[in-house]
Amino acid sequence: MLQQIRDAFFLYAPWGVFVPWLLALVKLKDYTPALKTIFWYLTLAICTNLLSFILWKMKTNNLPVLHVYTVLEYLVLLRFYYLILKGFMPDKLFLLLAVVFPLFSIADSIFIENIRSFNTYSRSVEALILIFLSVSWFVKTVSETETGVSTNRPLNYIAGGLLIYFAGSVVFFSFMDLIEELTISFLMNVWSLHTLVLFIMYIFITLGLWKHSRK
Amino acid sequence: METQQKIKFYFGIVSGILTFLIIAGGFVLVFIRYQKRLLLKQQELFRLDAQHKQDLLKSNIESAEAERMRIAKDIHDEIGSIFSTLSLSVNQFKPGSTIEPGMLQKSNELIEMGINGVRRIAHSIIPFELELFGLNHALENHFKTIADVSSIEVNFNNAEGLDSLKPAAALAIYRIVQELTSNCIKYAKAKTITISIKKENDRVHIEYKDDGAGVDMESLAGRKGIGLKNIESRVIVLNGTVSFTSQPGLGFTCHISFPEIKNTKE
Repeated sequence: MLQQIRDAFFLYAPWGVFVPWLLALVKLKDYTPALKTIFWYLTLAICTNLLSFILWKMKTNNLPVLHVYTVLEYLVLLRFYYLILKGFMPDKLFLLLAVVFPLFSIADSIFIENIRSFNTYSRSVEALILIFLSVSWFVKTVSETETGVSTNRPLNYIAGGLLIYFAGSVVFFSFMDLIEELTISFLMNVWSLHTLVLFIMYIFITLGLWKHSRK
Repeated sequence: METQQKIKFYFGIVSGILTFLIIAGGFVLVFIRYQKRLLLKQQELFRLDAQHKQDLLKSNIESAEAERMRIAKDIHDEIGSIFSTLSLSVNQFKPGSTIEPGMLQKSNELIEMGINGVRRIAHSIIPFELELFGLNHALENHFKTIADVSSIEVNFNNAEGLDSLKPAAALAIYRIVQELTSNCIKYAKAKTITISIKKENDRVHIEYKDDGAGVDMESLAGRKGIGLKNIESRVIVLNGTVSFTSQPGLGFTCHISFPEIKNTKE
């Protein structure tokens, strides 16, 4: 029974991305550039999920999709953090991050790790960079609150969701290759745990978008 | 990987994921709660500030209305009655009427009284000596009047260069001092008032102190009289700060400070 619940959750929870996506789609014209970027991030996640699903159904290795997705996801989220951290962190740092990581990730996919296997290094480095940017957002918010600037609560939820996802998944990303060697039951447990962290992120993004639409 | 190793690795991965998840989730939740509380606190402060401004505006309107009523009453009671009496006197100068002896003299006296009355009312609206002779002179004149009509001793320590202040600032100081001394006369039963006005680091400081009955400021919180609210409004307009200190039986102290704005016309 528990196993069935776990498998159903693993299979269907990633489609929870449609909830914040639909909410964003309805209110898209009222969104700030940062929130529009989140809409594009969700769109990218849906497209990747669909493509991976189709390839899986066709019994084709869908891991190359993850390699491409990692770079695209990183660039979209980097733009999000660039927009919300403007004035707090130097533009040059963002420019550097926008160039260095994609180059590293492409080199990783071509020369270091097999494109048909998990891109452990790229995912881990991406997670660490995004954790750093999420924490920077909270530092920025605290310093602005101390100087009396009003708080931006919807973005707290979104940045919080991203922080939870990447912090919760960094261990998972780092040991992806080794996780593959686990027995199928353990493997499904770990994957479901990752899906749970992903699901929590979608809940936080939904809350952020919901709070923004009520503002 | 051996089975034993796989189990250990599995638990390591699961606990690693859960640890990071709990730390990040806890951090985010604590932060959001903290922000929420801060926001509520800010909203409460904004509400109190808006309420305070509304109170000040209300007291300004009330005091303007009271001033209008006082002027109307003065004109009606004083000037109106003089003119009525004068009209009766003038009627006696009609051809064929019997003129009482000394009527011309009496009419002249009434006209003189009318002129003095108009001057007094006009002076109470705008202190002319403030514009003609400056703030120091106007204040000294005001304290002289207090000494004439009451037994209160006023010690006034004035600063150099007060007359170079912008007319609006000078008028505000004059009105503030007028309000403080008038409150003292009305309620405090003080023997001595000490007022010092000094300039320090491009700021003007006014220190007022009396040895009157005093008042419990805590019980006064939130229900200050129109007089004190007027003082606050005037100080806010000058971008300054004001504090009132008092205790029953220990007199009343007021400290006002605002940036010096010099009269640029000079």
